[in-house]
Amino acid sequence: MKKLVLFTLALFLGVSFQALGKKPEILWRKLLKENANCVTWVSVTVKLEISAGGRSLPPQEQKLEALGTIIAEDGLTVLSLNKVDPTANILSRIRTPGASVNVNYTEVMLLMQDGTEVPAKLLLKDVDLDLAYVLPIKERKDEYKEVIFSKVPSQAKQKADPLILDEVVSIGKLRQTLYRQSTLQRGWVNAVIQKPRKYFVIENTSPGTPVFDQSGKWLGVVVYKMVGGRPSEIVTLPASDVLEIAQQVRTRTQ
Amino acid sequence: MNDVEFVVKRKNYSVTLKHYSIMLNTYRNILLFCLLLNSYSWAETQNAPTLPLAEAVENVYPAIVRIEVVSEQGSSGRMMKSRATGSGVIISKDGRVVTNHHVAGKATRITCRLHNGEEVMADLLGADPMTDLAVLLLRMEDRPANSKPLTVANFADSDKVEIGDVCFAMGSPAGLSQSVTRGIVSNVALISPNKGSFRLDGENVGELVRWLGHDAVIFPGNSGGPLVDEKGYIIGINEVGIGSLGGAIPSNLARTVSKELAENGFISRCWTGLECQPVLNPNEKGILVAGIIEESPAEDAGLKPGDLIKTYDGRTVMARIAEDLPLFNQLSYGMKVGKKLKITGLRKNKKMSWVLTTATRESAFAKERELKSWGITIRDFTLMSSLEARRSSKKGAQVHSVGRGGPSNSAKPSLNRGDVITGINGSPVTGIADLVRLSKKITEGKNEPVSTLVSFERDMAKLLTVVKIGPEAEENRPVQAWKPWLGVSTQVLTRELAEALNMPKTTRGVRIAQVYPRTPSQKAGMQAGDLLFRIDGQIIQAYRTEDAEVFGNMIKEYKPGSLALFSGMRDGKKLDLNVTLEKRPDPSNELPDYEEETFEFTVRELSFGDRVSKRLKEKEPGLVVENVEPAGWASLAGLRQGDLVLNINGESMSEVDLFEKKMNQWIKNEEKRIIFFVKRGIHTLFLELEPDWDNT
Repeated sequence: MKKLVLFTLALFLGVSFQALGKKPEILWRKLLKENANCVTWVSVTVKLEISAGGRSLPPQEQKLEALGTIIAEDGLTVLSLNKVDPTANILSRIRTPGASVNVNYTEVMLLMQDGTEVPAKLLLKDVDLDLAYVLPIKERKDEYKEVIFSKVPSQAKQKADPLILDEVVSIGKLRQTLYRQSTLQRGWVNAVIQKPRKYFVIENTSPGTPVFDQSGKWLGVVVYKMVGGRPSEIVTLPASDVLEIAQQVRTRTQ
Repeated sequence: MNDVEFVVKRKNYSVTLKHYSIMLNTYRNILLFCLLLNSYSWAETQNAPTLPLAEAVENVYPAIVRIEVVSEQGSSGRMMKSRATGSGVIISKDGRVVTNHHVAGKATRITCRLHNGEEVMADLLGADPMTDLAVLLLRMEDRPANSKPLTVANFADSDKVEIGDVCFAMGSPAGLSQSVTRGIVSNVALISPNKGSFRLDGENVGELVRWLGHDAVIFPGNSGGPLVDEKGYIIGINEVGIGSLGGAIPSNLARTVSKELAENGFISRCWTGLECQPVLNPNEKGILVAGIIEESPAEDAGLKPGDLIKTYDGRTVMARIAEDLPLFNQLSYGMKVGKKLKITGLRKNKKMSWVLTTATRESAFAKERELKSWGITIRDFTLMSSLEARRSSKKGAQVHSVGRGGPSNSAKPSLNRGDVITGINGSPVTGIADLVRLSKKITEGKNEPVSTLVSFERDMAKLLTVVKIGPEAEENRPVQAWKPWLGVSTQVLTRELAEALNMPKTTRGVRIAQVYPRTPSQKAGMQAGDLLFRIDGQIIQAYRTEDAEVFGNMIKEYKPGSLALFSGMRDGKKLDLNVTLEKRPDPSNELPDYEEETFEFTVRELSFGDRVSKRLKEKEPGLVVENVEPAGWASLAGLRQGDLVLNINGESMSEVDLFEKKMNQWIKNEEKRIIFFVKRGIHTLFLELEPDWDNT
């Protein structure tokens, strides 16, 4: 009898440890199931006016697609600016003093999972932090009534900041060629930069996508670290910073 | 210059020129040096007689004109304006000027400069791509009343020109003032070595012309200028350069073509659909039929490829080599339209006879037009272009170029070059006129693009697409996030620098390199040379050049309006400064701007950064030129991106609203010229914007 109790206890403990070991995956799968659509593809058409050495090139249009994270119920979406604004890349190629690139957005669309294209506007950008904020626009109140914007789940508290080597996960979406299927990408925190601004260096992430900690709390958004006006490394900007700048979308552009 | 194929040729030519110029650059100085070194002794010892221009040549010299044109050519969905220069020669007292089609055939504005520097505007009377000739008429009424009569040059009989004859090429090489070079006639039947390589408006120029080859030096810009004999008569009109040889259109052809162009504005030619080549067997006499265009008069007459033509309208014809073909083509195309003519020859050694009725020869391409609301350039079909496109009729409008990202390019599927638009919203389109009319009807009174169902044909497929035509969609320009700002530029206090400034190597911080005027830093009393170590007690962790952005990032941590304490050192003494960080000045892309659509450029108001970089005072007027469309009137006038517009027509400019109001006023009045006074670097200059209101 004693042996049986010990065996049962051992079995229970074994199962419990196994369950505990699987917990992040189970939680993350649930996170994906419930929040996959907090990540969306955004399509932008930009008209570029490039001038260098006193000469202007004929205006060119480019169509770009980028991943973004929906951060509010009204569809406010944050993107990596470099993915929708080729200015930095063009200027780095021209290398002519006084060169200028004007980017005008002629069309911005949120590409919903079911194929609906919701017209939007790029309202605010932060070139230092590589952020662009896009908000759906409605001509009429009842327009796109059927579209539900799935907001990113709540933000991680400061105390829950991950440590180096902690596992995190980011939600993403594949390209059109792979039917924009949702993905989860596991990553590890390689570094936490504290000064002059907090950044997480997390491997295996894509710009514009949200990153979550082990408890499924939103940690931040993946952006490029800007160095001298050019994109360099991929980092994760804390959610609090993303939301703080988003306030300006409300106050300055409404 | 006037056609796609020709551009290619010109480009090839320019590559050759480039290589040539590299070679010249390498050896010119040596050569010049040698010539200069030897010139004195050469003159003394040789005492060679100079070669003065013959009096007759001197007399014809004032008949040369330098022609400056603004031409248009379709590309990327737009009619692109370009400026070019060429040459011409006055052939009548009333101001007729002969030049090349590739100089002035597509001109929207023509200015002729006479030998004495007098500039006279001119109109295009007619142009013929097959012979590459054009005739202009000087606006004699614009000349001052006391002007001297024009000097006129006369045509010689080019059939009498012989190899070895001395000739003078006159014109304005490379846009320079009138010049003369001397040479001899090298060839009287020069043809293009590559058949069909020289095309203008789709026409094969070499089909009709056998140039007079000569070695008088000509450059681009000589085109259209006269080739003159020793008696001062025109023996040819310079047109091409083949290697070191120049090629001139013989005067007899130039005379007849220019006469007809002046009288009718076009050259009437007939069409048979017969395509010939020299005989394969040199012992045979006649012309070999290479091909017959379907449904052409030649097909109706029963001619077939392989037939050997012996006589044509009673005249014996033969082509043993390629140089013989232009003569046959001149005869063939020169028949009256509708004429029944008899052709005799052989088919498989059997004698044959055919009766052919000539038809009207239409040009290869119709004139190209821009449809701005569609973002395309487009052409009607001519008989030849419809046949080339293998279409059964001339109905429809053919897309020639599509602007990237324009309405037609953004359609799904997009319109491509060569597509034929056959209908809009269910209404048939038989040509450009229909397309323009229907587009106007659809977009009238609309202030945003209208989705339009377009039927078009691509090869054999009949497709549908939706093009959003009409006014351009409103552009979305995002604002930039507000950031706090100090208004200084800094350099990192590196270990080496700290040591040199008698500070511990471990010192971290920045050195102020520049304090911008009217900024928080200036207001707080910061000075260039100040050393900063801490902000609100936090060490500025900068000691390597890679730490250049540490200081800026620390400032960006604050909110605009925050008070921050900057601690450091000035002249070896401790420094503490309280600074209220202000909002960063508006970036240039958030400042008011205005896109001027007639002249095609954009200006905006001056930013703080502009005033600093251009060293302007706070209230100094000016508008910055943000963008200049390459093919617009502003670009042609020489306006450049980055220019600072100080005043226009004498009116000082500092606000976009005033600029818009004034420009609209001048445009409404169709001012002949609008004078911009601009600053470029340390220089100022006046620019004359002179639109052609008829084509604007």
